[in-house]
Amino acid sequence: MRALKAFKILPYALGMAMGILLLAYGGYLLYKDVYVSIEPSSLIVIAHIIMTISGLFIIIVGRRDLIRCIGLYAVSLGLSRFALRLDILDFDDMVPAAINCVMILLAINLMYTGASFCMGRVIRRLSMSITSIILAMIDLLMLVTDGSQSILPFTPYIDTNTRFVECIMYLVLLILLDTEFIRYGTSEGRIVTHLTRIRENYRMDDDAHINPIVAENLLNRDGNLWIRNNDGPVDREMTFTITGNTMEANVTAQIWKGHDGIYLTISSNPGSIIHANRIKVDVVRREGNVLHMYGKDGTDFIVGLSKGARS
Amino acid sequence: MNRSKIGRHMSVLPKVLLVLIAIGCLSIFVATLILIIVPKEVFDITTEWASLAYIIPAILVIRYINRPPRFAILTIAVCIPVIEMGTLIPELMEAPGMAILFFMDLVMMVSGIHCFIGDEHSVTRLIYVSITMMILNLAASFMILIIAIFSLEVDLMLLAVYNLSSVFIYLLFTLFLIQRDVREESMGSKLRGGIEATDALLSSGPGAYIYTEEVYPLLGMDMSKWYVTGLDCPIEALYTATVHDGKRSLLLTSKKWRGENRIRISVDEDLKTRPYGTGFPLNYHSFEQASEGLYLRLYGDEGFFMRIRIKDKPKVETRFFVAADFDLYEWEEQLIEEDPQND
Repeated sequence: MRALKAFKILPYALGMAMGILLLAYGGYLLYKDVYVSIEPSSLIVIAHIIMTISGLFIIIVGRRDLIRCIGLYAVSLGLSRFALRLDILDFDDMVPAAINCVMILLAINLMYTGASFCMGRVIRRLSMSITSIILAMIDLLMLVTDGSQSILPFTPYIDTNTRFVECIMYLVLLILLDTEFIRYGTSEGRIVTHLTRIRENYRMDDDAHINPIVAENLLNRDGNLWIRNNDGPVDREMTFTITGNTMEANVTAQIWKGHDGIYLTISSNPGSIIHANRIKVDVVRREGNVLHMYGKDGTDFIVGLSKGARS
Repeated sequence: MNRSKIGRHMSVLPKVLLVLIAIGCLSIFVATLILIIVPKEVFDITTEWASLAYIIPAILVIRYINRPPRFAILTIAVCIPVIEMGTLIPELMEAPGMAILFFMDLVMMVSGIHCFIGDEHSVTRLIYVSITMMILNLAASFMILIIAIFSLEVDLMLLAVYNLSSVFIYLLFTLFLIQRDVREESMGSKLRGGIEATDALLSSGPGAYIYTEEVYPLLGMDMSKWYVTGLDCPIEALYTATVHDGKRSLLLTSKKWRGENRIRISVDEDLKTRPYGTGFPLNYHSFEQASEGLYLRLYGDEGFFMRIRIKDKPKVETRFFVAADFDLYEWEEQLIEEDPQND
């Protein structure tokens, strides 16, 4: 569980990395514009200034609002690509011009989808992902051919190191868009989250199973898993998990004072339990390698026994 | 986060793919050994000693073949990138662009570890990374092969084949990850499952009906069709009636508990997943003749009320395609003989 919790920090760590990359890269490009380039384009300089400031902003507020930071990141990247391609757009040679136009459109799309994220909503995630993949692939192609102008004449000469950094920046964006936080932040993702909770509360897979130790405790209505908490009407309580191929439900079993049956409160996640499936089991029987539970309220289900299940 | 599927055991096909991956790794080990041992006068191919480490995933994959898929995934997703990083490091100074492969290997390792500790989506991530690595290695092998064909160097052709073996491993790994026992349940599938479960719990149409012949058994007034359970079961007997609601089938199961005289009815839906069960004790029933037809009214405790349309079961099922030996005129005559009103 600690390892899983460590991975939950990963999106925020990547967000921080995103800010550092943007700040460092933007700063480096600004330095080149000011001290190396001869008569740099004002649009490019503005794009690089925005990139640097965005990087700083993301580092400061990234932990609080990752979605908006991803949007800002995408807008900054898109703006720098747009400025660069527009600056070198030259219709004297049609093939490089056509390719530059495509890249300008991709950059505009990245800014457009980034703007949606800047408003705090996860929409057009797929569009942003595809745009990032294409831009990363183009940079990758440059790297593979070592940025040689003789092979790919439509690109301006950019040293391999910066090309590598750009490719990494797109890949970081892709990884962020693939995190659980963003995937389930879309409207479809939110619907799936709610429906999955309902499904896990009220139904189980055909191969649903519990730990044999849990089964023994339920059969005997006593054992080392039961906690005698003596909390108001509750005499003793235990928690366990019903695991299936695609679903997992957390069950709180309680024996109330003066009541014969076992009350089960089934919810999809541990923690707060408000909406849940509340059933009463009157009879628990072991039938071979399964546990059959019966209740006069209509409860009637079978769970298998498997040592692999968690108690 | 559901760790269930990647914690379950695999069927035959994923195991076969794992065996093939092990064979692929073993082949690279053997080929590397040969290239190291054989004098340079025979084959002038420089190879990395790190490739000898392919023997480790070959052994571990076979060892974990009867364990849940997450063990094999961890082995392949960690061992192979580590070996590749070992072979890439000497080349990084000459071709800094190779650092992208380094990055992809790192992503693969992290995803493999994440998958092992319980993240199902990492399987999907590994599919993307695996396909990307396959394409990159294929491109590199193809370039070497083109150069070899033009220069007619046998050693280079062998080198291209040697590189293709890693493409083969990534292809098999991708095929393994897309197997039903291994892959993540898609958003669409979760959406459909969730909607089905919610429907089963909360939704039914106004036209749902039960057949006339099932009414009396459901109410316990005709127990000849009831199923009698074993002596040790708390439920003495039960009967299941089907409520037809468009394409859905709801199941009303009447149960009689030992030591009780009342009927308890549970309501479920016939789906791939199973319910925990919900129901009500039947206190009273009546019949209601409405303009559109006859209804059965069921009453439980604490104000519980249910109303179900009753319909006669049709004698012949409607069919679009008639069998060659089916005589339509003979069927019509038979209907008329059974009931002259059908004329």
